[in-house]
Amino acid sequence: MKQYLIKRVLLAAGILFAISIITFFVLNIIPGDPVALMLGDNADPQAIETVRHNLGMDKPLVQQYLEWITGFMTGNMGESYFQHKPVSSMLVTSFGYTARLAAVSYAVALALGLSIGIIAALNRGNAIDHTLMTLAVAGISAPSFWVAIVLQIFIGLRFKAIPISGLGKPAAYLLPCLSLGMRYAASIARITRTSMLEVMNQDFIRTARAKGLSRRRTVMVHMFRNALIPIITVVGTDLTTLFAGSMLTESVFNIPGMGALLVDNITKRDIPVVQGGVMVVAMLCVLIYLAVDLLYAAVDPNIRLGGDR
Amino acid sequence: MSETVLSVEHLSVAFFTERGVLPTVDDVSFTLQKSKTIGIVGESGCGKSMTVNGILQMVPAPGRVTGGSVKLGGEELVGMPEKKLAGKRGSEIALIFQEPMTSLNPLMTCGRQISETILAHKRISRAEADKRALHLIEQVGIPMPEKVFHSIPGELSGGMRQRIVIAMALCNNPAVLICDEPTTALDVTVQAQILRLINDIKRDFGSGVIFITHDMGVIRQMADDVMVMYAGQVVEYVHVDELFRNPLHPYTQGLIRCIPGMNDSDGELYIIEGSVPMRNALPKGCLFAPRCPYATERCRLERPGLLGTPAHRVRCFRNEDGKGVEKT
Amino acid sequence: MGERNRDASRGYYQESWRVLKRNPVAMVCMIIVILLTLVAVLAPFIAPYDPNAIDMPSKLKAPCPEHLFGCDEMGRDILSRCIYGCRISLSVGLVSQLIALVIGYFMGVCAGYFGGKVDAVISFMIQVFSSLPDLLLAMALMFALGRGLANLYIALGVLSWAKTARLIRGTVLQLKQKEYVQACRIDGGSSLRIIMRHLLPNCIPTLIITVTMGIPSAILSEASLSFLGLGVRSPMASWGAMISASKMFIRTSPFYSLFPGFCMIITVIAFNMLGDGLRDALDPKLRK
Repeated sequence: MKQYLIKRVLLAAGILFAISIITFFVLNIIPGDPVALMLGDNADPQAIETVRHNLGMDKPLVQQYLEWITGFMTGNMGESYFQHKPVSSMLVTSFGYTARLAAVSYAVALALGLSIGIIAALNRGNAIDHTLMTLAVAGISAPSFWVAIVLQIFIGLRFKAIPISGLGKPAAYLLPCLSLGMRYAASIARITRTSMLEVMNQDFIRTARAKGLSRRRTVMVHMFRNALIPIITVVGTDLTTLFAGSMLTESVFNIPGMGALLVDNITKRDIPVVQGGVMVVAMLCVLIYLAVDLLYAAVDPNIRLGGDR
Repeated sequence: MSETVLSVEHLSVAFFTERGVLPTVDDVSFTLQKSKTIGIVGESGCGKSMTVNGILQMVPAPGRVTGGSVKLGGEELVGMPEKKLAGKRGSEIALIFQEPMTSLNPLMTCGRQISETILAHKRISRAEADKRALHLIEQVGIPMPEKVFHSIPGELSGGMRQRIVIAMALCNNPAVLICDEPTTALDVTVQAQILRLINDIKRDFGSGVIFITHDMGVIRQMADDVMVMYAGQVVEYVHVDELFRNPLHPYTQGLIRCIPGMNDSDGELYIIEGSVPMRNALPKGCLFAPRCPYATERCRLERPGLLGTPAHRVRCFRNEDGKGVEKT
Repeated sequence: MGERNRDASRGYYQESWRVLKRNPVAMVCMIIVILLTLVAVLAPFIAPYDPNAIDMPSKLKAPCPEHLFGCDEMGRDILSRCIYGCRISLSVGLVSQLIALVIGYFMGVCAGYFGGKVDAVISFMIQVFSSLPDLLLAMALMFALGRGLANLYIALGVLSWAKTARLIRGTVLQLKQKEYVQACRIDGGSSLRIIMRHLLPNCIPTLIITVTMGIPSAILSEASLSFLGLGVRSPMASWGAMISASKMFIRTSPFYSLFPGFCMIITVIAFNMLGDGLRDALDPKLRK
């Protein structure tokens, strides 16, 4: 078990390192000089040179990378070109919004998705199953930003109590979380159903019935826990795309989260902000994958067993 | 006087599929006495396991029990509400499965799997149930019961797991114990141990045992009465000694000839030609006729009933007069 | 050598086709996909107006007989723009997935076939790429490459290769165990020959499934990027860009948001369900 853990942590560190290299070089070998953009079209080449020098942009790329990554590890992500604020504080502010939006949305998605999936599996083949699964396919196929706009049109504009922008009042969470959560609810429902159906046909479920356990106990204790492993995988992948998904939702509802920050600064070519943002999100994703791996071990003792031998 | 614990009359099971109704168990009747074993033999696909499912009212969709009656201690199981059935399963009638590798929940400790079976039927505390489970683990001959109690199935060998399954089946002193090929997946040495354990249980607990296998050797060791099944029908039903002394149905004769001799396992083996017919393409006459060396025109056109004497029933026209036929 | 490509022989595809034909949902979706492809190819002949023709007097005109889907904020015909948008969506889906397929197949085969260090390096790369959220990586790439259709192809192709590579690697690892591949290796068949003659035909079912399943997610990614303003250049008519533009007008002209979204949902559902059907038909493990 310990070995398994160490291996996973080392791998995660390696992945992060690789991502930092890719991010840095992708973002820094780009056409279009941010400095020229910063100073306007008629900037004096001499002035551009000075600013480039002040920002350390005339140094070799490798050196720039090393400076950036050592800074990053000590929490110093540099300063925004345009706003002259530390990137870390900008990220903290906007991350707060994104995290709240993502957390509430995913909680909604889990509750909805798991129950829909279980209900569909228990009703396999009948009208309830078909209806729920058709809805689920529609759910994964509809772009969340479009669902958000549709919800604004049909709910937000009709009911004054439900705001269609910002995250001020609790009611403001309703539409963004519904539109973002729906997609994930659909994917959780699909995998839950598949995985439940797979478990349902296994011998130990027959054993549970032959033992005279109640249906409720058979479903919740024997089926569900065994069905959980593929579900955890999907949850892990989902959580990583959740950050990306919330960027779109933020843009519809004018929420000043990570999405807005990144899109804004990509357009402005404010490299330190984009770089820091991408790295922070990547870090979160890798951590989530790590957590998922550990969760497997918690749910399935057979994995712990394998790790020991 | 022996006490009847289970009586099955005219039990039929069929599957309702897109391709039509497939009869899987056809008119099976038998009675089981306390402390007795009835053996059910036949090739795979002959309806042995579906008979078990029919008895337990656990036929998987799209199949269902289409007729007959199953009386457990005088109570009718066919048509009993699911809730009440659950109260019977695992307490009055218990099941030991073929595959010890897959019939235990891989994520739950063995002890818990036993104690939850007890708790499902008895109003006792969790601690008491655990204590009883531990005792049972010891009773089925597992060394270091405490360690095994806290192990998950993945940590145990096949034989050990089967002992756990048996302990689980025993935990509420069932009147009827159904063993569905309990040793097929195990090594020969382990097989002998498990068979002895099942015989001990029958003696100590007084359960009636239904023992299903395709292995004629095992049947000879375990059963009092034997029911030979073919394509969902009982083809011969007789006491075990008589079965081996004087098998009447050509299928039974074939099965007995298929048993490899004790020492000549690489000698020439007898093979029954052909295979069990598909349920959607059953022959018009006797179901065994296509594979039967004695089949006549009549066998191909007319389906025989269960003939013979009450002590020795056989589904074959050659035995219509009840005298039996010469051995081949 | 009749046994050689047993798993991917003609009989196998006939059987798969038979299974697929019996699946009405997949067949309907296949017809929709064919129709959408026709719409995309024949866009200039089908579209009633020039998608980029500005006509300020009819700006934000509600749906009417002349403009079935209405007009946008510059008076451009929304129906025509949706038809041209289909072109962009399908081409992005297809081209990006073909790029992903080539990279993914090559990497996956190398990893599975050569094993050892090659496998370790490629598997690590697969993990790196699948650790990043697709959209974020696409945003970074679009940031580096700049907006535009060709760059979309590249960005979306580059970021979906990992999924294909992972699947192909798994398939190849299984195939490697098969007798005929081992026999060929013992006979001294060259690696390239084995990869092209023996492994490729057997990977085709997997490739068909990944491409069909990859197209809808690429379409969604394109729409997301265009929605964020990082996709196609204006005035190109992308469904995502149209939805993005429409969000200013939800109070006055809700139809503007709805139509491109419907186009999108239909397209994505059709590909997803067709993919499901193909998987059921082509994956022998599920068929048994």
